[in-house]
Amino acid sequence: MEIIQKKLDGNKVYIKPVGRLDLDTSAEFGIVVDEAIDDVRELLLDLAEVDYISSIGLRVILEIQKRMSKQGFMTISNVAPEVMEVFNMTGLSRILTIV
Amino acid sequence: MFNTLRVKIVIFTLSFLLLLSFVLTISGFIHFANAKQLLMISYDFTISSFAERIDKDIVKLTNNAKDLALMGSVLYKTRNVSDTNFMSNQIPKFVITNIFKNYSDSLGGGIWFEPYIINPSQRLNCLYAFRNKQKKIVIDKDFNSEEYNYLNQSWYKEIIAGIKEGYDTEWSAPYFEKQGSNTLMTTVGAGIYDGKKLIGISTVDWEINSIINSILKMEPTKNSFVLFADKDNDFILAYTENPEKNTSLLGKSLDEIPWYSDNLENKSEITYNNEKFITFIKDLNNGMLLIVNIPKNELFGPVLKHFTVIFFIFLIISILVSLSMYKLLKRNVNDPIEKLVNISDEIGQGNLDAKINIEKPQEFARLSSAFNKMTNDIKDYINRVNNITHEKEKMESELSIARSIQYSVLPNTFYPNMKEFDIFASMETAKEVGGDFYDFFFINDNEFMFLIADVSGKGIPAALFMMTTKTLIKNLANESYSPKELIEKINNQICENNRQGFFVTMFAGIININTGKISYINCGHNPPLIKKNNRYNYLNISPNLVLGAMNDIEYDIEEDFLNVGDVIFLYTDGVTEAFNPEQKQYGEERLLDCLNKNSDTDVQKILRSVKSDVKEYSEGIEQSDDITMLCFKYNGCPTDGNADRFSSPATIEGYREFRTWLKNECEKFAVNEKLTMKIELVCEELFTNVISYAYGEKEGEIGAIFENVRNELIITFIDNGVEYNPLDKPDPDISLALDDRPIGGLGIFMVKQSVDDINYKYEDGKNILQVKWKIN
Repeated sequence: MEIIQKKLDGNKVYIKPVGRLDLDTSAEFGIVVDEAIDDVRELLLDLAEVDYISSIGLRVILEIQKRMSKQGFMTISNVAPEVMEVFNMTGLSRILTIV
Repeated sequence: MFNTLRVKIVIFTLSFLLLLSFVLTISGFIHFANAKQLLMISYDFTISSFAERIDKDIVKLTNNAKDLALMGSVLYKTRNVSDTNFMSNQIPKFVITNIFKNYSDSLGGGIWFEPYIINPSQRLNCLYAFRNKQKKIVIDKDFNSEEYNYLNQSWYKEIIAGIKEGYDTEWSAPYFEKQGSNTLMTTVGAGIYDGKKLIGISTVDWEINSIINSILKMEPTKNSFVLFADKDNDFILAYTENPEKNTSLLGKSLDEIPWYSDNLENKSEITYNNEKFITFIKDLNNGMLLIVNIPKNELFGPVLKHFTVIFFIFLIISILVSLSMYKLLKRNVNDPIEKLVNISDEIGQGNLDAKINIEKPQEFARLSSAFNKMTNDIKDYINRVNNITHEKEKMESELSIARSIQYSVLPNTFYPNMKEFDIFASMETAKEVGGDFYDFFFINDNEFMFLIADVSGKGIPAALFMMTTKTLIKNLANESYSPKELIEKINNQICENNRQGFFVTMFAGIININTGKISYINCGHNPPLIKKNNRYNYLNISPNLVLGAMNDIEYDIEEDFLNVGDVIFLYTDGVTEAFNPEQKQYGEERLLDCLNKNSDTDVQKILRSVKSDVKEYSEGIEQSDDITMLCFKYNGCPTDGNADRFSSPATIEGYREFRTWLKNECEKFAVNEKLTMKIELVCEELFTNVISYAYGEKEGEIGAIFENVRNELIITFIDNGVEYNPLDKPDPDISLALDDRPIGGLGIFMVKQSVDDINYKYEDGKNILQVKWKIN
């Protein structure tokens, strides 16, 4: 999958996955993000190009969120309605910072 | 005719009387013989005593003769030889007249000497006295005359010839005395002896006329006649005879009478002038015969007549008795019987008001009153029976109406073309309809409702209430309520329409025939039996309140999934409460046993076997309640031409293939984008689940079936991995804070949230998980 990432300043990163966050892609996405957020205080996750997320994708996001909560914070933006529905369904919308 | 009681009794009586008269006749004859003998003896006695009287006279005369003879010898001894007139002396005269005074029966008598005995000079010496007409005794001197010459007279010769020794007497033959009294006489004489020398005779005359007169008077019977014969039987001296028989026997000798000589020897019976006579013969002392002849019929006639009269009187009495008995029987037996027969006929023809009225005799009066009572009783009975029959007919028709109501509303086609399930139901109504019913129908395209119910009460009202309830349920069921709403609405409406206070127990199931998901509703009904894994068990379900009892009640609905081959058996209490002759109930245990013993899978056969087991148990005891059963068997959703199959290794590579396949399927069935995503999500989660848990480190396969059945999308995942039911996993607590939340466990949770239906089963070593969505 294509993952766009930009280092905005010293400890602020912007990541934008493009495509699905599913069984096929989530593992790769997880690894990429994991590397990208080393020593990062602020993560901006842009889900504008993600129209599908499965539990394995949620898992990755939950793991990222747990890590980011320790070293800073994460903001998720441009969540598609389909994905939002999944967040709502699983109660993640309440523990994620979605703008 | 001879078979009638009357004739029989009369014949019997008559025979009895005739027998009696026969016996009496026999005894009569015996008595008659005795009487004859007695009569003979009595006549013999009478005649004997008459003869004796004559004999007495004879003896007296004989003795007189002897006395005279003695006197004669005395005279001889005292004679004076010189006296030539000795016999004319006073002394002999005196003696003879005085002696004769005592001889009252004799007419006269004398002493007669042989020639020259008294006086050698005088040849004739006699002395004779007789009674003259003035009854004076006078001496007759004329006998001494030579003209008379007594020595030449027949009587003298006879007598003197007859006398052989002293005191001998001899009777002369009867003769007419012309000298003296000029009557028929006989004379008895005795010898006068001087020593041993016969010197003369004495005589005593007997006037036979006097005897004859008395004999003539002797007339024992009207036509009898008497013969009196002299001693040599030469002459008949006297006879009596019926004047009509104008033959004179007088002066004839007995030998001249042919009938006498022919018949009399040793016989006491003679025939004379063609008439039978009984003859009594008496020998008199002087050799004369007294013969009395009495006509036989006159002798025995009276006795015979007596007996004949008695016999005829008896005969007449017999006939009279028989006749009166005949009449009596007719009046007292036959007529009442005739009446009874006529009345019976009348009653037989249907006239029960016919009365019989017999007052006499008492027996028939009683019989007739009993008869009247009987007809009354029969009438009452018939009326009662008619009433009962009428009532019964009314009831029967009511029952048959109720029954036909009940039957008419029950569905009778059992969806024979449905592959997803088999259903069969049966109801056998009790005599008095119990208000059971069953029903089954689709409430929408996928959900099928079946129910069994029992209305409290019996008869038409129950049947009508049942009909109302059934209609109401079906109408409400089509309104697409949830099962819980449905049942609560049903209850409320039943309550609304329930003025009679009926209530209904019901068990209903609503099954999604595609998924096998079933909702159970039990409203106070017997819990049904459910067959899972080849074993029946009672469904453990909360009973809830009966329908129609109270408004606004909450009902608990229980849900389950039916697997392919699962069977639900619904029944009413008519089954478990069927009685056997020992008044024991069939019971739930026996029902369970019966079903488990039966290996049938055909619903109709299952019902039939239960029915026959109940029948066998009750052993002919009449069914007291409706026996209603319903059997539902779930066959699962058929995988027909609408099913597409996929299989791949349970790996991520497999998942990629799967995704492509799934996408194609969704496009093929024109599934909209939103649902496609949902389907994708769910399928990914389930696929992930198999990859994660099914095979562990080993490799394995995963299969999927995509079906579109009646506006439902069904996707089934099958794997051969370890048995694992993801639905058993508890849902995650999504309200937890980030730190407390586990990172896993959301997949199945999401699946549950995203499907319309999900079920899992483990069969033949396979995990089978099925998810369904409704599509419009």
